[in-house]
Amino acid sequence: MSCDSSPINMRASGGSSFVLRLLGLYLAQCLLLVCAAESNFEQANRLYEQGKYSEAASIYESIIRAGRNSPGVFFNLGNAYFKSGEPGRAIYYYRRAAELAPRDEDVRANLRFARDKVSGSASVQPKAWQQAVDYFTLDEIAVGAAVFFWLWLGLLSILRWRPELRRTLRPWCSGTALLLSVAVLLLVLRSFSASERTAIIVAKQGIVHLGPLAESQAAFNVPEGTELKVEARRDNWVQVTDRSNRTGWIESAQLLEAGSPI
Amino acid sequence: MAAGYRIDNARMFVRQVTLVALLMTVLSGRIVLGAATVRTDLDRSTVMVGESATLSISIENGNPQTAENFPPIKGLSIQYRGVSQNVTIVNGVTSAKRILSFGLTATEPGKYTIPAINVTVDGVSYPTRPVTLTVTKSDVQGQNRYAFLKLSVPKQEIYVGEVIPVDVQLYVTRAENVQTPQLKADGFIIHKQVDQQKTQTQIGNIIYNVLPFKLAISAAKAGKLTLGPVQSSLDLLMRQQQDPGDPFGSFFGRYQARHMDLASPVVEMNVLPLPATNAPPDFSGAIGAFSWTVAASPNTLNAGDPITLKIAITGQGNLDNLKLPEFNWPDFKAYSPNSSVASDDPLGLMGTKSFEQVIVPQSANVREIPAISLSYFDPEQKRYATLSHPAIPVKVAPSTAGSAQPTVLAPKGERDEAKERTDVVHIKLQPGPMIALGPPLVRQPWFLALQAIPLLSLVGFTLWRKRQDALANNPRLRRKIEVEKTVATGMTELRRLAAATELDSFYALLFRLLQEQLGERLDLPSSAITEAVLEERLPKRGASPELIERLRRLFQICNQARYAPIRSDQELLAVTTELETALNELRQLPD
Repeated sequence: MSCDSSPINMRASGGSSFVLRLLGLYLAQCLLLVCAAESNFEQANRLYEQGKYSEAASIYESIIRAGRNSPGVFFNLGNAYFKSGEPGRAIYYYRRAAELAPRDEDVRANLRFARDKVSGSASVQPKAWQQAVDYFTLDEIAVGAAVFFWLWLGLLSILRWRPELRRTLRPWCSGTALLLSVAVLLLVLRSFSASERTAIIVAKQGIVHLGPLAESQAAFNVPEGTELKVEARRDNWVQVTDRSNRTGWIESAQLLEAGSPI
Repeated sequence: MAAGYRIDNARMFVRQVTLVALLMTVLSGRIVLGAATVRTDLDRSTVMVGESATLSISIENGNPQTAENFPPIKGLSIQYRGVSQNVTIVNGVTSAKRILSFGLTATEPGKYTIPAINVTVDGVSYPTRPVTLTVTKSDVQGQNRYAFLKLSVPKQEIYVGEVIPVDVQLYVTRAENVQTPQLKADGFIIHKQVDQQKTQTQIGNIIYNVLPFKLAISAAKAGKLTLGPVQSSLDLLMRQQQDPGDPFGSFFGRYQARHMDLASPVVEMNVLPLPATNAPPDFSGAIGAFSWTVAASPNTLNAGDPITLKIAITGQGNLDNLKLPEFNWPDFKAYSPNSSVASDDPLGLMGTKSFEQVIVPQSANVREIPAISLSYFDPEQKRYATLSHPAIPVKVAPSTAGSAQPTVLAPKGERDEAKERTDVVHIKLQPGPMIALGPPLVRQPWFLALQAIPLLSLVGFTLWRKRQDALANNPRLRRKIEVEKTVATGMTELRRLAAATELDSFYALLFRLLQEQLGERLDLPSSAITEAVLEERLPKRGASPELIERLRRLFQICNQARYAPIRSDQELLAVTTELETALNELRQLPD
């Protein structure tokens, strides 16, 4: 997509409706927004190359706040935080990139690299089936299931219309039904996997208390970058569980929940 | 004779070999036995008033002949309990250990130093090691005498972040369902807890089982903080009073369980903040007492080749939190260091933390690895200290093509790909497709509504198929439907023909429609329908005389069309209307 600054010529013949003009304005606005996002992205990349990681991170975040999300922006933001010595935020943004592009090798590699740098490794580990279903995004599985659903019902409709084709179409019906079942199962598992909330520690040392009070006894502490399972919330406290099933409460300012806004 | 001589010689040879072997064994044993060692141990370093500790002097591979008496120590009684002996033979090597045991019991709290004494072993005098016994006040009176908790700390004044060991001991005579003691430690962080081996001790005339626990804690904030109490609960087993009428009562013994909640006294701690003045700029929070060794290899290399800095920090403190300073050297590229900890104690407070830091000289102008330093706060000395290492000279030659990649040692268990990678993959130059984040497709109403389309289609096709099957099994119904369509289409066409006064087509269509509808009602072929059928069949089907008359008139109009056709469009339309009325009435006739 080219992003030169020349204005868009809108053809407005005498008979063009108000709707056409509105549509043109809307498209122009979208184009301008995309161009603005891309120029900000390039500016942030330049700052990153100059080693100004914090400034680059600020610009990447402004792109995201403007609603222009893409795997590339999240990935580069993760890199900027990693280089700035904030592995917790780096892991958070790598995960967000992975949600949008689960098969991107660079995203997977950097997420793995950042996770390996977290010491102690009290992070909860996704189960094997979760790693398998997370290979696709929820929308990809939904589209796949919809395609098989349409195919299957379409074949059944054809059979109603032309019963003499039963012999020919039966194996196709069975195959499509099987694929649909698999897709629905994947959809259910992926939905379940997406519903499990995890949080990443972004403080240098996260202190987990026995109760949701600052005066509560400290139960254990976890280093930055540790990924914990979210169990419950109360006021500005979050109940978390680590890999060894130790449970406690931590202030929400010390972590970022997967899916939470910037 | 020769054979007998040979046999006798063989027997003698075997005897000689056996004797030599035995001698060798004994001699080798005696050689080991001659190297005596003397060792002094205390089974516990902290006891309460009235509680006994055991001092053991172990003499290995020697025969103790005499031992000096311990000098009298005020407040402490030292009783000789006797000697025990262990002999072990391993791989033919014999070693013997004799242990002299002394019981130590204090009548007053305090710190007692048991001085060294000389032990004569095989004519040689060996000194023992002095040991220190800490005696605390007895807590028994304040708590239940059969079960109580004890909380001990080495000192009550510590610094924020300083890690200290805490001893918790549960003394109990006999109990079940013992809950692990929990330490209330508001304002403290518990780093580690280690269960230790159960022991037994005697205080006064009560024998206790002692369950010890060790914890490593540090204070999270400054000020006067209360450590404890330690809390636990158990079911204490108390011997029941014997029933005089029970002949077996004294033989078996009866115990009664009594639930008890225990709590130890608290310890008031004074937590000092780290001094704000004189803090070195590179101090990063390490607290303890440390020393280090630094080594770099190789010292001669090409530019771009890696150098591994091995830094081992040994001492006492919170080793886990020790971090290397950032190496921001413009002439070197530094990678993230790897570290490992080897602890000398179960709590991890003493040991060595080893770092391996890879640095890569970027040019041949590099002459040395710059000096490095590490600052920490020594709580015993109450001051900051800095470990320094001078610059390490290196010889860097210009780089050759294809210089080696730095080797980063990865912790055990990492995948190969992570072992090879030393940095994150570089940023993406394109952002990729922009996506508006929102609920997933499965929660979008439009997406779900879209899935209704194939469902409705299937339902529609199914209903249509059922109708088709019903029609296929009912030819009369099928004909009825077809005739309805034919009549509906025909009436429209008839009006058009009437308006256009196309007489031939009009009358032909009029006649055909009459035939079709009458044929369907009377279940006769349409071609067989004539005016005669009206009189023969219609009355039987319940048609009214008016209807029959109307139909007859229409037939006659058709017959007269050849000779005297009605020509005006108005009249033709009137005929059309009459036909419509007649056909509607015909359709009302029962099947």
